[in-house]
Amino acid sequence: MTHEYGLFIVRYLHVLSGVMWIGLLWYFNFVQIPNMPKIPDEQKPAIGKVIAPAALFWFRWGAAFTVLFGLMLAWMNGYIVEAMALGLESKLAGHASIGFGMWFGLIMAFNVWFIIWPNQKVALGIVDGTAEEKAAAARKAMLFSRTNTMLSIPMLYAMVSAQSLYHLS
Amino acid sequence: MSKILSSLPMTITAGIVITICMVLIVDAIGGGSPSMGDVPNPASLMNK
Repeated sequence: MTHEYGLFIVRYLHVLSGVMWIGLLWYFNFVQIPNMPKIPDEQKPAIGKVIAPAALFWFRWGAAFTVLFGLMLAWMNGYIVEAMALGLESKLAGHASIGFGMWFGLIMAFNVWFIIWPNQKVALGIVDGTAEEKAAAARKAMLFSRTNTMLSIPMLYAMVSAQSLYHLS
Repeated sequence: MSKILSSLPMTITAGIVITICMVLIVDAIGGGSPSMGDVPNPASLMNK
């Protein structure tokens, strides 16, 4: 397998995982959360006990594999250090752009695994908690999910512009 | 901040504002227009 084909496969897997992750992030924020108040109370367990746990499984593993393949891609392309330094050493806009995308992505993945998922486990009753603890956990998970939605806008701009505007491979 | 994040339209607006700020910073680091990016000027390569 040539190096070019290896790069392509890793980029393909990065995009595939990223669509899974960000697709579910936007499902939560654009569909599920705004429509929960419209669902009758007796039907809410269908979302809380079935749909949300399944969606959260693919959501958090999508995040993990997106980061894994993204870091592999940056390493294979030879710009991982320059990108993490936001192009301040190389003075290249392409490194700055992909660097911003990588940092936003890393912050978002951290939020998924270490803030959103632990709080969702409490909110959905996967781990024990009082009614007050569940409400507080649901609120915290929602706010950090919204933070990720906010960051997904510049993150995707940075990722796409690094290739399309700055011609970074 | 939680007030912004509680509203989906406000969240999206904040995301766009961050994007604009990021573009300005990237442009300042790169020191050039996005259309030129990191691609070397062919004329400068011919003169080397």
